[in-house]
Amino acid sequence: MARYLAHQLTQMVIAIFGISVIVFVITHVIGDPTSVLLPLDTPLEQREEFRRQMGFDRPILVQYADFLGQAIRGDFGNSFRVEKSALSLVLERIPATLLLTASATVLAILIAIPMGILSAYKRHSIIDNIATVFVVAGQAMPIYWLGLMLIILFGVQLKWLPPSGYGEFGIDRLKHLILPTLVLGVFLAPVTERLVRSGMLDALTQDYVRTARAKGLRERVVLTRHALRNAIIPVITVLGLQFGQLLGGAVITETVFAWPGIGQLTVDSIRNADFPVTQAAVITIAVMISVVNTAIDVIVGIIDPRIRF
Amino acid sequence: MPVNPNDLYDENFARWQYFYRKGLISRRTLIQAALVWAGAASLGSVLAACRQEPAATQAPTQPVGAASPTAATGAAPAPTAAPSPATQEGGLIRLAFDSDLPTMDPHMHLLRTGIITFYHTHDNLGVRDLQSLRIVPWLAESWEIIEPTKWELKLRQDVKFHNGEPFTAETVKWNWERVINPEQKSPQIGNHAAIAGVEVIDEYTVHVITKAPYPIFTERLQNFQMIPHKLAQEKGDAYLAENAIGSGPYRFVEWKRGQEIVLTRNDDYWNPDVKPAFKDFIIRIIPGVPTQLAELLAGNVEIIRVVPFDQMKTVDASGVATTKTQRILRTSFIGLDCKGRTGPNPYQDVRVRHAANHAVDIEGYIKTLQPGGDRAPAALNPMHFGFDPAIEPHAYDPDKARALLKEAGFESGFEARWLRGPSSMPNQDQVDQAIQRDLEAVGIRAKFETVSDTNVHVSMVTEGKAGPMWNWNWGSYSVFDADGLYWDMFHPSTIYNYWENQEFAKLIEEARGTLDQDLRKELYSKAQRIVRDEAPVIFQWGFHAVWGVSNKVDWTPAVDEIDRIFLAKPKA
Repeated sequence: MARYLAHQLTQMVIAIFGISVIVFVITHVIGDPTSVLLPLDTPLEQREEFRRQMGFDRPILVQYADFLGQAIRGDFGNSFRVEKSALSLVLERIPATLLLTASATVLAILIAIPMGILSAYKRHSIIDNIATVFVVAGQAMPIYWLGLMLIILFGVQLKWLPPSGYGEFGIDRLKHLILPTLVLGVFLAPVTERLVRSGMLDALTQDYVRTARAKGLRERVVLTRHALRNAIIPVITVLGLQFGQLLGGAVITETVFAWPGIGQLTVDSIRNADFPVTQAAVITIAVMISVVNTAIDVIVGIIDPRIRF
Repeated sequence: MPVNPNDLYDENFARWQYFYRKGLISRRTLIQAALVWAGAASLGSVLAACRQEPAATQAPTQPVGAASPTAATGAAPAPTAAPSPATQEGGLIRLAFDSDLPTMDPHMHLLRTGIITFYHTHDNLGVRDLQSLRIVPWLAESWEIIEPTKWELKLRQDVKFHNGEPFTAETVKWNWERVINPEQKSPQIGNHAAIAGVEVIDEYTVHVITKAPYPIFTERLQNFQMIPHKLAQEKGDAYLAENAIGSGPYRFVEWKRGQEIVLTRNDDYWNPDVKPAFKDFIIRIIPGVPTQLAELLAGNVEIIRVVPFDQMKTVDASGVATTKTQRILRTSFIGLDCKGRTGPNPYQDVRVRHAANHAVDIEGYIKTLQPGGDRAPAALNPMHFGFDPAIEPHAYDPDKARALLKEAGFESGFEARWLRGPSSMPNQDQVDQAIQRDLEAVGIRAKFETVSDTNVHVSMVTEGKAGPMWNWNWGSYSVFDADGLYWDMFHPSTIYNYWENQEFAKLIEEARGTLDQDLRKELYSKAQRIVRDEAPVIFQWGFHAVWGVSNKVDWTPAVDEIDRIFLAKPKA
């Protein structure tokens, strides 16, 4: 396991290095930050002087080396717009994003696992058909559209839930959490449900399930302790891989619902050519995804001792 | 206390792993323990997130050594009870912004949203009279030109900042010197580039020295907010960046980054004529226009600053809110690369430029695709000082356009790239498509190249990569003077310049250097004739913008796009 972790860590470092190159190059080619940071009527000489002061006039490789040296120490520099360190701006938004992604993941699991089990157990039944409709609809609906529809229905027409915002701590925040969680949960659940279903279908035909049934075990026990445990392995792995997509979905969801998370911050920073914040946000997200995937691999190894790394 | 996942790992899960390795428990038990641990860790994160507010800056309510909460910092105490959600007298009013402010320091931004916010928390030396559109005294009681490059400002003597500090001539001197100091790196330095220095004459009189006669001096008195300088010197820039302490009709309470800015009425405001009807004023940060609309219709905000053209009927029919249309200074045109900055192109021939102007049905677009608009026959908005109503706009005449193209050697037309970027023009896509169709009808085949990012669009324009056609609009920094648009767009020294005309440049230089307003009008009239005859752009119109306002509120938007919430009143 130690060797595996070392291997994973090395891969993670290489991946993050690659991402840092990509994000650095992209942020530097999308536009000149001086056009955002300086008044539009700033004379050319002042503009050039500013570029020199900020170091934008140096070769991009030199700028990157400088950036990398500081980033390794966790210093992404100060935001161009806000007199604060870019990383601190990102870190203060992480709890809101974690709250949203965690609740969406829990919701997706609560929908997908029972639905997947039932769907496989009652194959081609009305339940299976309903599940299929849910999966197709969940995959086909763009997050942005679904978010707006839910806002119109529950926020504007029925007035049951607040259309957007973060709310105050407590019940108010939970109310604000419901709609974005629904959107992200519905985005995540279909793939998970399909995996549970196919895994269960496969498991239910295996000898150990037949043996369990022959032993006279209750069907619930056969399904959950024997079939599901084997079917769940790929689901957990995919959940880890989906975490990246979930954060991508959170970018849109946070914008639609005015949820003050890392996604909204990233969009804002790109709009305002706030390079340090964009870089800090993208690299933080990359680290989060890498850590989650490594953790998932470790958990899979614990759940299924046949898997060795 | 939220559960700390690390504690759980160290104290519990590691122990279970140890038991498993020793063979004391089964793998099933270990998995169950892992699931419990994972669940508890998730719960811990969720609880932590529920508890943590992302970077709220709340005005300190009991500063050290302060006799009262407001005495030292000027910030208002946070409301102890939730403000009344209804919009009755003394209640709450909420305005939506599409993005957050970068700072609470009024000198360190260039944003419309910042101007609006600080118009409530701070005061300016002069403000715009919404009837005459001229700048009238505010913190400055009066002003007088005593030499061509020297203005005398007499200041009010009854103004106190929210922290109790008096407003004096020293305050004015400090504020101006702060903004024009290059080391301060204020983005507003360009607005005050003409200021050479400020002299304190007595406690309530200052002389402002300009580098040359500066006819738009008074225009610069608005949107230049006064900060209490003693507080600033004592607390420093970092404090100002988090606390909006001024002398305005509202006091700063709290800034929850990315969520809202909370203000409350300043009941000790120096001007008894300005008494906000709403005690609490919250600016909510809601990034998407559709979400803002939903919040307006759900009754969760009272004013939104943009209603898309195709949603106006929905809002008006809702019974909850109404749209309000207002002409504004922002003026649009389609830039043409007359100099060939991006490369040689047909628009370097003036006949082709006139052909393009005759090919488009500006009146038609305004009537059918816009919530209104004011034609700008020489790029100036009718609200700019110096606008000459005698200038005739190009008539919609496709035959004439074809004839001009033929004369210029483009009988079979030509193809041209049209760079499109994000725009605040209502219904922009439909307008651009209509123009594209009309241009094609005379042979100009404009191919859209759309960039979705404002920065990229602006960079391409300023770097000379926008030609031969690009869409553009200009708000003139709320300077209601021809200088605000002509200088920035067409003077040879600026980065936006894609057309040069020495005679025009001399006229606007002369207009910038004299205080004789009649002469300036005459000079700008001549300049407009040159612009009309040279057609350096496809002329469009001054925008009419659309706000959405709750039916519970009586409020009218202003021509300068500064939403004055202190003028809003609950509807009876």
